[in-house]
Amino acid sequence: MQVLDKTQVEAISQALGEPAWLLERRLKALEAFAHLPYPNKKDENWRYTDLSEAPLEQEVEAPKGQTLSRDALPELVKRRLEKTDVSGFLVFVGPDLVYAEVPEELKAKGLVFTSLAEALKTHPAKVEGALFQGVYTEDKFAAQNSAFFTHGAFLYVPAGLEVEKPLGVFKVLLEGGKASAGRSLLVLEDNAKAAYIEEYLSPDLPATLHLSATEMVLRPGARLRHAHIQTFGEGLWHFHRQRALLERDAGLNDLVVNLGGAYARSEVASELLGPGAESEMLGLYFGHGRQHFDHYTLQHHVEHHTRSDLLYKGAVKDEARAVFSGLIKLERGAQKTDAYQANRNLILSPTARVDSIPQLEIGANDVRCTHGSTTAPVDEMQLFYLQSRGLPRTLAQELLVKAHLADVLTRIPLKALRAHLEAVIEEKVRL
Amino acid sequence: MSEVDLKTLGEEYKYHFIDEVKPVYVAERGLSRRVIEAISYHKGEPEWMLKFRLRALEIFQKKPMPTWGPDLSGLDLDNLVYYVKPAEVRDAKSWEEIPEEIRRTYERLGIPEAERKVLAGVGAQYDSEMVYHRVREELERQGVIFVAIEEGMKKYEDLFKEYFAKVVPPEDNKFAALNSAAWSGGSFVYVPPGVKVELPLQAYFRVNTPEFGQFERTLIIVDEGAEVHYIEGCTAPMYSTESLHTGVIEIVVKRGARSRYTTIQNWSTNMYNLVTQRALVYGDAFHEWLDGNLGSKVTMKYPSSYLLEPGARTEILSIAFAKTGQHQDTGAKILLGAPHTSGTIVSKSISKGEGRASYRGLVKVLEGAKHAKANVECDALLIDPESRTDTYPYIEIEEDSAHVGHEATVSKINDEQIFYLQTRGLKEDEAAALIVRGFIEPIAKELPLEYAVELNRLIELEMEGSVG
Repeated sequence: MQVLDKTQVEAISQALGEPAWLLERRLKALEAFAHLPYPNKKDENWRYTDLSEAPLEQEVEAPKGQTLSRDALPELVKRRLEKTDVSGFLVFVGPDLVYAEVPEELKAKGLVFTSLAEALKTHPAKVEGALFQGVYTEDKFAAQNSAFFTHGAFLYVPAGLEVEKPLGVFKVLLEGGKASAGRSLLVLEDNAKAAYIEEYLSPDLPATLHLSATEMVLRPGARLRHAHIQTFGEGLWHFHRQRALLERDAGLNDLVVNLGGAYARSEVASELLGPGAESEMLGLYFGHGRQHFDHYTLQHHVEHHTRSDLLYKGAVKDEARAVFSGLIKLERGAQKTDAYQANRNLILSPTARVDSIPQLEIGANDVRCTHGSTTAPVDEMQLFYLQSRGLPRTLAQELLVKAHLADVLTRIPLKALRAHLEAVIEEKVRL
Repeated sequence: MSEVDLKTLGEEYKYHFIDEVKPVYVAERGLSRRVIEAISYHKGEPEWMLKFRLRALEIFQKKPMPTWGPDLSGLDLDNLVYYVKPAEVRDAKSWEEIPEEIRRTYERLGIPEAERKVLAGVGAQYDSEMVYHRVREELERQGVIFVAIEEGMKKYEDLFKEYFAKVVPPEDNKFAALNSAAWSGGSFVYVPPGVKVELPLQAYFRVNTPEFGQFERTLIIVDEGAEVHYIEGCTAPMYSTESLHTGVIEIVVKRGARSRYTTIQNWSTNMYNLVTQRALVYGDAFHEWLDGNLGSKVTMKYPSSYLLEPGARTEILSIAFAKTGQHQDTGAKILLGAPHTSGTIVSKSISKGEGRASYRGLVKVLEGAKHAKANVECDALLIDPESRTDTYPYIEIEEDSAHVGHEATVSKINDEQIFYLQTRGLKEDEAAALIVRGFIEPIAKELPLEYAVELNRLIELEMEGSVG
C-alpha cells in the first residue's frame, strides 16, 4: 500500500484548514519527493550512511487536535520545564500543539509565537512570504517534510524588538511506529533580537522516522541565537535540515546537538547574503552503542565582508559512528571573507569510527579561510597526569571526554541548557 | 605584484615547438578491439598480454566517466589516436642510434647533457614508444634494471608478471582501465636488495602528434633495503585540439627500502592529464611522492601510498599551479593499514587569473592500524580576484589509537609582507615574486639540487619571467 501519496497530502492540508496556496506548494513538493530516489551510498553525501534499517516509508501520524493542561504534560517535558532558560514555549506531543505559554507583554509588542497552522490563520501574509524559503525540495527528506509536515512553530519578531529571554519548542514523541514531520519558521525583522531553543524528546520507542526542518530568515541587523537539541530515546531515525538566510549585518549563533536516537542527521546551512553578516555554528555530538550521527554543514559566503566560525566537536564510543562533512563556499566577489571551520573528534573504542571531510571552495582571493580537523584517542599524557594525581583511569578518561566537549558548551551563554547538556553527557560517559 | 605583471605571468610556454618527425606507424582514430590488437602486434607481445589488454578494454567500456571532479566534456575519446610508433629504432642505448629529428628534440630539452652530468640513467619516450634507455654501467653490474617496460615484459617475464597490474589493477578506475588496454612505453625498474642508486633515474615524456593519447606505464620494484629516486618530466607542443596523457605508475617498496618518485609535469595547456600512481610500502620502508603540476588543461592526479606493514612511512609533497583555462585537481591518498605506520601530505597550490586548483585527498586508517599517524597540510595562494581554489580532504578512521590531523589555509599575497619588503628596497613586483617563491620553498627545497634546476626554471618562467 502506498501511504505517502496525494490523498494523504490533501488529507493533512484539509485537516489543518490550510489555504489553497499551501496545498499547491505541498503537492509540488510531493512531486519532487516522488521523483527523487532514496539516497544510497553511491550518493556523495550519503557515502558513509546505511539506511537499510531505516523505517523510511512509514505513514505520517495525523493530527488529533489534542490539548493538555500544564499539569497534564508528559513527565519528560515537565522535568525539562523545571530547569529551562525559556520564558515562553510551545509543547508538541506528536503532531498536536498540546500546550502553549507565551508572555503577554511580548504579544503586545507585536511578537507572534504560535503553531504554523494558527499563524496561517492570524498572520497569513507573514507566513506565506517566508515559508519554504530555506527548506523546500533540496533532497528526498526535505521534499518529504515539505509535502507531509503535520505541525510546526512560527516565530515572528517585529523590527527593533529585543527579546531578552529565550523562547522554545518541546517536541515529544510518546508513541513510535509512525513517521512524524514538523518544521520551525523563524522570521526576525530589522534589528530584532531573539533566542530560540528546539528540543526533541522521547522515551525508547520502536523504529520511528522523524523529520524536522528549521527555516530562519534574518532581516538586516537581526540577531538570533538558535539551538537544536536532540535527546530522543532509542529507535528514532532523525533527519533534520536547517537553513538560515542572513541579510546585511545580521548575526546567527547556532548550536546543533545530537545525543539521542538510533540515527541522526543534521544538515546545517548558513547563507551570508549581505555584507557584515556573521554566523557562529557550533555542534556537539556523543555517540554510544550503535548510534550513527551525520553532520553536513555549509558556510555559504555570497557577499563580501562576511564572517563565519564553525566548531563541531564530538566523541564516539562502543560501535558508534560520527560523520562530519563541512563546506566553506565563497562565491566570486565574496572578498574580505573571514571563514573558519574546525572539527575535533575523540575515538574511545576500537570499534567506533569517525569520518571527517572539511572542505573549501574558494572563489575570491582577498580572504582568510582556514580549517582544521583532528581525530585522536584521549591523550595518554593527560591520562597519566590525572592518574598521578590519584584519579582512577576510568574517571580520568571520563573527565577528559567531558573536557573535550566542554569547549563547545562554554560558548553557549544559556546556563540552564548548558547544565542540561552536561547532565546528559555525564550519563552517557558512564554508559 | 602590479596588476599588469600578474596578468602576463606564466603565459609563455617554452616547450611549444613542433618536431618534423614522420612516424612509421599511426593507429586509426578511436579505441577498438582492432586498435588494441594492432598495438599488441606492433609490440610483438606474448598472448597473455593481449588477453589482459582486451579484458581491460571491456572494463573501460563498462565503467562510467567519473561524476565528480573537473569537467572532462572537452575530451573526445573517440577522436584520439591511441598509438603512434615514431621510429623503427626502439630503446636505443646511445643517442646516435636515434633518428636525427627526434634526437634534436631531446637536445633542445637538454636531456643528453643532464644525463652526462647528473643522472644515473635516462629513458626517453616519444609519442607511444621509448626511444632511449640507458643506465650507468656500474649500476648494471650491480643488477639494477632500467629498461623500457616492453623490454622488461619480454626479458624479465617472471619478475614482471609477479607485479604488473597488481598495484593498480584495471578495475581500479576508468582511466586505469584505459591505460591497461592501450599502454605503451614507460619504464621497468628493478633495484636488487641492498643496492643504493645514488643519482636519480630519469624518464622524459614527449608528445608530438596532435589529438594523441599517451599511455605510459611504469613499474618500479625496490627490493629489500634498496634505494632509488625516479624522475619523470613531461612536455608537448601546443595544438588547438585536445590530447590525453593517461599514465599508470606502479611501485613496490619492499622491507626497509627507500624510494622517491618525482614528477614535474609541464604539459601544454591542451592536455588532459589523468594519471593513476600508487605505491605499496612494506615494513619499515619509506616512499616519497613529489608531484609538481604546472602544465596541462585538466589534471586529475592523486598519488597514493598504501602502508601495508608495520613501520611503513610515506611523504607526499604536491605543488600545483593553475592559470586561466587550467584546472589542477590534484591531491594525495594514504592508506594506513598496519600498526605504527605514518604519513604526511603537504600540498601547496597557486591559482592565477581564472585558474582553479583543487586539493582532493583521502587519509584512511584501517581497524587494527594501532598508533597510526597522519597529517595533512594544504595551503592555497590566490593571486587574482577571479582565481579559485577548493579543498576536499576525506578522513576516514576506523582505529581508536590513530592520530590524524588536517589543516588548510587560503590566502592572497600578504600586503604587509609586500610593504615590508618594499621598505627594504625591493620593487612591489619583486617583492611579490619573492613571496611566491617563499610560499613554494618547503616543497622546492626537497628536490635534488640537480633537478631543482629544471623546476626552478619552470617556476621562474611561470612566476618570475614576466615580473619586473
